Amino acid sequence: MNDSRPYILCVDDDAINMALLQYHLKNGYEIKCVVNGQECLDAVKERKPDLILLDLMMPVMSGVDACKQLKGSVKTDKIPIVIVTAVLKEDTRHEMFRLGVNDYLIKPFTKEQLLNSIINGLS
Amino acid sequence: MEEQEFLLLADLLPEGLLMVTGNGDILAVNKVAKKQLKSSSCNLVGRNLAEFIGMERDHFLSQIRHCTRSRMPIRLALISELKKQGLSIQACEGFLLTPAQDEVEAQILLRLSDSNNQTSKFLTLNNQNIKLQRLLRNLNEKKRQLKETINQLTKTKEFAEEANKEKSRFLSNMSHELRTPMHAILGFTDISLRLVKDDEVKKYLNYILTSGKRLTELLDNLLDLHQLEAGKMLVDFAKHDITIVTQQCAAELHSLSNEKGLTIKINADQMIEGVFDQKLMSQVITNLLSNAIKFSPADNTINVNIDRKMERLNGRQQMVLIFSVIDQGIGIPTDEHDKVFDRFIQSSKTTTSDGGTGLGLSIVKDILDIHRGKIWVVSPIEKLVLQSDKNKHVGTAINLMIPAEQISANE
Repeated sequence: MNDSRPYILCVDDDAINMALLQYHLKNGYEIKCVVNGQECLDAVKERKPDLILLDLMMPVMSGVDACKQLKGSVKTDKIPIVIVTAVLKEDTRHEMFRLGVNDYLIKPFTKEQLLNSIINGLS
Repeated sequence: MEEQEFLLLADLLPEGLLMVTGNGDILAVNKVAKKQLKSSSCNLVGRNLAEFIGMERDHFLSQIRHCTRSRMPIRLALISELKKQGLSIQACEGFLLTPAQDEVEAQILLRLSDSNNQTSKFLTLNNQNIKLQRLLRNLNEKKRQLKETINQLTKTKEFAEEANKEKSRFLSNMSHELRTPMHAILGFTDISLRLVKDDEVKKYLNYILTSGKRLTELLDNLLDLHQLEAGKMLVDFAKHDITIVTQQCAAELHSLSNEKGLTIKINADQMIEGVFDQKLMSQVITNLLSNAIKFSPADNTINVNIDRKMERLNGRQQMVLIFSVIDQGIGIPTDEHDKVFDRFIQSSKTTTSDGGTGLGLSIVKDILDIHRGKIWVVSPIEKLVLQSDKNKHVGTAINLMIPAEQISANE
């Protein structure tokens, strides 16, 4: 099993939105799907992804808290993060960029916007 | 307490005043009297007036009682007596302040003054003397009421602010809750559109896509509006070329205008510079252009005139940017010219199939207010009416004017 495709961790609690991500990424990416911030941290510990697509509003642990933990540890702070959220608030967006995320996509976004962000994040 | 009330007002007056009980005990001395008597108040307060007059205390009291009964001003020949005490005052007259039932308890206000102007001043004060006390009482009552009103207003303001925060939270939550399913609807419609071969199904899927985008736009507009209302919109004034900004907006709408065979003609010199928030003004221009596209008949021209010149705006002559979007569409009835800028109001000529939320122009107006500019409608356009077929396409010009230089973002 020598998979050379980039490994992307998708974090979103909305099953249908997740299905959409899966569809968009099915060609060219190896993906794992989890449903909250805590599961995201666990999955990163298990296997370091090449990029994380992170929703913000999730139960158990929010994307903001997960992002703070990831960016706060030298082991994980280099992993590119692209926020995929329905949160429109400017201050949230600014906070996430301050934490060091690569991009902030607001739902609804297009397939092209998503793929562009991923390609930029990986390069 | 009454002494304090007395001093509150008496200290403001330009003449010497003493407050004395019906027994002649001095209760209070105002600032001017202290100066006139060259005395600090502690030397006088608590002493009896009879001491200064050189009059028997009983005789003094009977004089006061007489005055109280007859409601006459108390006139005391004090000149020589006061001089004996080494006080510099020339004359002293007193009058009843409060006609209490027990006359001995009555309070007397003594007025010290120079002999040359005493009469006129005395008369004014005499007519006012009873009122003075009432005035002081009223003043304190008003003060209390004012404090109460301030407290109530503060509470109301806090309540309103809390309600506004609640509205913000609600809108931002609703936005999130609506965007999540909208993302799925638009995303999967887009996928289906790419997969499906049947043209009819494709057409319907496109309808879903357009409707979904419209709904999302409404959501954005509602949030923008709330932010503008709450004054939360960050404004970034800087120098830009409005012609270039307009060209960019027109380019972004190209596919839309192209669909209807419309030409957007920008009539402007290059380099028309002004100070404005680029993001907000782009929103204004895009909004006006998409309205013009929406209401223009097919295969037509939309004219955009841009100019920079001296005009009267906000009450003074100044350099302004004037911007007009002129379409040859159905027009706006005259009595609706102001209403189109109200929230959720669309022209009666607009039909639901035209789309729109009735929020666009109201947001435009808010943005112009931020720029201290103005916007107005001209419709029908005379030149067009003459040529038009039965007034069907009378045209609309939306004109706006903003100061070319924004003095300060904080002003």
